[in-house]
Amino acid sequence: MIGRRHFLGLSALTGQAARETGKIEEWFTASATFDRTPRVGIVLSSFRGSTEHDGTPLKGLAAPRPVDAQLSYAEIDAMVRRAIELGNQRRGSLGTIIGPDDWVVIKPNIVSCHGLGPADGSSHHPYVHGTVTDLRVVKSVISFLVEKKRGRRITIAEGSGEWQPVERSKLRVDGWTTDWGGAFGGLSYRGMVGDFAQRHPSVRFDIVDLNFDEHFEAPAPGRAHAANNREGVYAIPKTIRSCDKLISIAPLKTHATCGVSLTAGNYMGIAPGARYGFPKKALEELGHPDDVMIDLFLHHPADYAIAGGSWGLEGEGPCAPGGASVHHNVIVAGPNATAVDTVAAAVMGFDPKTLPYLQKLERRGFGIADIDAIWTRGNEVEQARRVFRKPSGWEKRG
Amino acid sequence: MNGMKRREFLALTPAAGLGAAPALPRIGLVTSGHARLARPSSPEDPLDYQRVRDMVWKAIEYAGARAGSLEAKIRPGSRVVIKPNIVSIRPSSAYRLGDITDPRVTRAVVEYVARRARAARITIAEGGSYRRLSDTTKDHAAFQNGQRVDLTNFDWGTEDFPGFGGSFGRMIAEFGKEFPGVRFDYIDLSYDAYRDASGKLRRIQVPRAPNGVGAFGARPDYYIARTIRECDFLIDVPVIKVHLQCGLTACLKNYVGTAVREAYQSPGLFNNTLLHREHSLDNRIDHFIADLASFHPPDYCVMDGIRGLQYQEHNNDRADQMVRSNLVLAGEDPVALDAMAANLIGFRPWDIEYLHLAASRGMGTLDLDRADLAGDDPERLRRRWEKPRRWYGRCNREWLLTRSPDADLAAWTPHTSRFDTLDLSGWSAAAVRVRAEGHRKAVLWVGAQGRLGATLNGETLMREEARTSYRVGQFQKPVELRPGENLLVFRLEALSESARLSVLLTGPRNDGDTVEGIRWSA
Repeated sequence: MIGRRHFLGLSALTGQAARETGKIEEWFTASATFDRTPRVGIVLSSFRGSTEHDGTPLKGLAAPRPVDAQLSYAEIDAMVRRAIELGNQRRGSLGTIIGPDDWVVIKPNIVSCHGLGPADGSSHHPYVHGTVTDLRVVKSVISFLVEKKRGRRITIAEGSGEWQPVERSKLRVDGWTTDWGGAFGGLSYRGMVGDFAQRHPSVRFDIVDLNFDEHFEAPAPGRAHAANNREGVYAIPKTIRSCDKLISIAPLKTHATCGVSLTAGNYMGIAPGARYGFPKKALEELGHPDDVMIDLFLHHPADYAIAGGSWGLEGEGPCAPGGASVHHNVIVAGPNATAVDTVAAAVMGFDPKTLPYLQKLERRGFGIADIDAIWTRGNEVEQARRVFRKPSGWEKRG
Repeated sequence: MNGMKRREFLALTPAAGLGAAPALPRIGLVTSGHARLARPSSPEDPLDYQRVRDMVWKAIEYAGARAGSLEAKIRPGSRVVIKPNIVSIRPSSAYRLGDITDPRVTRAVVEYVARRARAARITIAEGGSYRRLSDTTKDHAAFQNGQRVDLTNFDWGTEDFPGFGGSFGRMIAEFGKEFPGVRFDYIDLSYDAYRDASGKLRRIQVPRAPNGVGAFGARPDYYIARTIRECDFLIDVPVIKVHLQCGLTACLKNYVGTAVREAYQSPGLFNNTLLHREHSLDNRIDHFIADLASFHPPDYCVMDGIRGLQYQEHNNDRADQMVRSNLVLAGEDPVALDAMAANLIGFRPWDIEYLHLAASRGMGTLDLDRADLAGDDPERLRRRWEKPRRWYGRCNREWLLTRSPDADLAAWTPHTSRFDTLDLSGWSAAAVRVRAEGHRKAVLWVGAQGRLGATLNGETLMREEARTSYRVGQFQKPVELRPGENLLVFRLEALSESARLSVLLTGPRNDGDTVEGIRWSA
């Protein structure tokens, strides 16, 4: 793989090469063109600072910790904020993408539920660390938005194929109420939302279970990908259609079929279980999960994406028992989900070129999936890399 | 096509068209496969200059003019200005094949006028986002083989436009030699401003149309190019492409190049930033497009539909952005031509706001049923080009308003909204009748600020408490319209200082285009 500095240096050489080969050489000078190179922030818990390609120093974390250390909320919060800052684009950051009056939906991945397992029904996989989004990352993002006075309504929304709200399931716990066995400092989504609502009464905080949100069926914008969905029609919850901005926050996970499940893979959770079942068999029948995921993504492409946290999942993800926990404290953040997933996949030791969904997203114009064309800031990909065990047979497929 | 049946179209052959009522505008449409061309070729053929010229001249022949031919309309000794759309040249990252008028089309128009009309001067005029050679400022300058270039000397090579070759400067010189009685030149509209005695840039007021309609934009005076305003005969030669903000860019949108960039640039950006800032209204550019066209509406138009861009204007780096159609349109009526172009690439002409504004100034007709068509069958050529991601059509403007929602509808006040968004402050409810040609499935798009209750034919459709950012189409609901009249009623209670509402009915594709076969009325 080509390094970022190496890549940036190459552009100067191409002109010289053109002159030597006698080709027509054309260029355009513009003092203030729009910078279209996506930027992605990468921050390990051990981040002690780095330099820009032009030598400008970038400040590290105030209290760096080993990448496999148990972190406090404050330490995760510092990583998230640093990654958001480093992932800023010239044309906007998280603080400018989200307007003060926006309805912001935060979409974590809560596919499994701590405290539930196969004994509670065949759709439940056993919970292990790394299966779901780190709640501290969600809390940090919401705190950031509230501090910056961004967002009039902030909704945490998910539609798991495994668990249902306790009011419906009559089980003892659900993904909204579980404290995850203390894994995230004792946080639960229900508690988090209640706490924010109490402290910031001018903002509306709520939880929407997308499985049971009002929805209607409409074609994916443009051309749909899923082979068995000829009409290209998907049921999309009202919350996803009507919100102003969507932030996808996902852990680093492998996926037995797609290779990885990151911030775009997180979109499988927007399809309502009330329409597609528990698990969402009717969704799986529409086509390859890569294609279904992209079709769902098209309905409301993420306005911001964050991958990582304290744990990820390797092996036969995206759930246990096939997937196994990986403790690796890293945050990857930026406004473009394709670029964020590309960098996150590279951090996990995947060659993004071998991940079909990333290539398809790029072809559809949803960002850049070429790791060499993404401006990573903070830790280098090589520094942040922790090679995840791939799904069986993946190397052959890749 | 808008309500037009194939049989009706076939009746409109060139010969039949000659006998049509003279008031109807005529549109000539010629594809590269047109049977009456000297060498018909497939829609994928890269074409050469002779083929392009044949298409352009045939389209002009078919379109004719309401009183004679194009050449008959050009008075002897007059100055003809030909305005292509060449917003960028190749070194710019914004440039993409399909983003500019094919130089061969421009050349064919120049040659037509030179050979057939008795013009004294033929000027090619354009103002792009690159600085001209005499501008010593270094940014936004284009270089080729180490030499500073602009549109006059940039060499297009032979690959992009086979048969053109060389530069516009060379083309002008060649025509100068071939037609010694005619003066050929190029004017860079970016620097062609009116100035007062002290040399200061001067604004010009939008002229009032004969029907009394004045300026639409946020301010009524513009830095407009002198050459455009003062020439005797203006031929608009745009390329057909999708535009992020106004949907379609063709004849009328091409006038943005007539706003003087020298005056409208902001520091470091040689584009029309200040034009947008000073003249946009309701966050739309449609109003200043119609205003700019008012200074000198086109006397004739030739549209390049050989290659265009979908998704948006300018390069978006997508492999499938450029679309080849190999067609040319011609005619006198820029509104009808733009409506036809919109139709061909999958827009509903009704949804293009600036066409309504231009039509209201008397610049042309938006109703394609009131235009004569000659040449190829547009119904066979219609495609769905990819639209901008946030595209939506024209929201309803015809309303009935009331402060007493329980009062009889006859007592409600008719109101025409200028914009997509209706300011409902001071009112309690708004209603609109929707006449549907038969049973229609649609998706209702509502933008609201306030506590909203919506009904269709008395049945509750949606209840929303909208306190977050307002936007068109935020709330969506599938609906079924019955044949004939339907009634939509929206009760809106303000929850902040303002209450706003917008309503659009899009088709089952839910793509933002107004559903076919409906008509709004108060």
